[in-house]
Amino acid sequence: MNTAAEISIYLDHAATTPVDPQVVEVIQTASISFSSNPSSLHSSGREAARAADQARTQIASAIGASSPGEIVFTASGSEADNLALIGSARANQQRGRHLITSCIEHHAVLHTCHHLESVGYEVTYLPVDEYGLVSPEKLSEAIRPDTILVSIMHSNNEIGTIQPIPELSRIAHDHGVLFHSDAVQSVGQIPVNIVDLGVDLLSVSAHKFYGPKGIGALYVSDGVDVLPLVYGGGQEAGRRAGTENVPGIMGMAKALNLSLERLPKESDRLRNLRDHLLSRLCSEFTDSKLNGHPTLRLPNNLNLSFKDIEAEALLLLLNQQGIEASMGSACNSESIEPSHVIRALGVPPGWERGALRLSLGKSTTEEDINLAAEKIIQIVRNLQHQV
Amino acid sequence: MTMVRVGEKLAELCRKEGLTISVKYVDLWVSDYFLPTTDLVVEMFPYYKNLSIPVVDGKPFLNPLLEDGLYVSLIETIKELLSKKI
Repeated sequence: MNTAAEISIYLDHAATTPVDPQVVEVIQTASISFSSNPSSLHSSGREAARAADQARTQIASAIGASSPGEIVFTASGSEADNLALIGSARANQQRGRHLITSCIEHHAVLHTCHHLESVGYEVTYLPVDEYGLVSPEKLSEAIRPDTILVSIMHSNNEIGTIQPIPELSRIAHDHGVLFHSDAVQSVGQIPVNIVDLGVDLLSVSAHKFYGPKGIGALYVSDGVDVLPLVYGGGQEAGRRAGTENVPGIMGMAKALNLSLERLPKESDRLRNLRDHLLSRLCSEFTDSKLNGHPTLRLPNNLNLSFKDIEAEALLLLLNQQGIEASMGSACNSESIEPSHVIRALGVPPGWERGALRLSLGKSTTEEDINLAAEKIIQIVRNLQHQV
Repeated sequence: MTMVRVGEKLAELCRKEGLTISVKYVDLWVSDYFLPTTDLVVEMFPYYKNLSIPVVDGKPFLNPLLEDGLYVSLIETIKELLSKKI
């Protein structure tokens, strides 16, 4: 039974991050100062519109977009993924009805692909190697004359593997195909620049970088057509109807700026802590397996499989000790099957149910890591020595 | 979530053997309570202590090579428990 613990160590930042107090302040102020509808013609409406536009400019600049008009605000990263896939599929259906993605995408992409298949599109799901990397050669081979979109995530939410997006997008463009990347886990954790990546569409979510929940964005390169999913007013240049969430938008911009200010130092700090944790756990459990790429991975992500244990038991017992972690995507806790990502890596059966995801964040200290390591070692030992 | 897979398969195997059983799942994230009329507990990891009913270690279910053997022995245990009830 879940009981309150004396300590509290949050190692689930990949699921969501706590809102930064400075962001809370911005949201509070904006909720009062910019409460009018940005579409209204009166003064307070114009002020709200200006505030939202300023935030849009900051976000565009932070990811290297050439103009603020390339940012379409959505209610989540999932909605941004849906808009990217369905919106561009519908806009380009005269050119073709074939899409390519990878088998380890977030369900926001995979389930959207399943929907598109149900309405007559064809989708190729690229396999990944043992580290979770998509092969550029396999992408090249999969592109057909009727391919309209390639969607490959920037980094994986479960295992943290970072894909070679510049190479993959170049291949897509060489064939005249649009490229989308779900960068929800990457933005705020590692540098993400549209120009360097060469993407046409990119999804972002504020709550992954200490911003509020309920606000995300889709970068849509100038000249790329995306039909809306939500009809109504002409907000977001006709690409997403609905009164803008001005406090959320301003909070997102503030959170992104703060994350980028912290980024170089924070990345190094988290990488060191993560590597220290990995080294302690691997030296204790020599038969454990690191899931994901050893170096091409998010600095705050550790995904480790322990032999012959069920991660859910480990999570439950860790939770009783005040340590909050995850076994993969926060969205798949109801599934009775091992994670689709872990399965795609070819993790052997004895390990596939024992994958623990630990994701560090700005509140994580060395003391937290040492204590977490101690507790994990103790619990895994108990679980493995059963029988 | 292995417990759901195990529970479903066990119920199916028992049906084939003509054994009438009812499987209830205990979600420890919510509560560790189970009905006092329960005859047998299969736990996926060591949790319950000092119960007056048999507790079977379900860890082998995590290993596909060991699970078939455990189903066989579980069905034998269930048969034994049911025969005592008659």
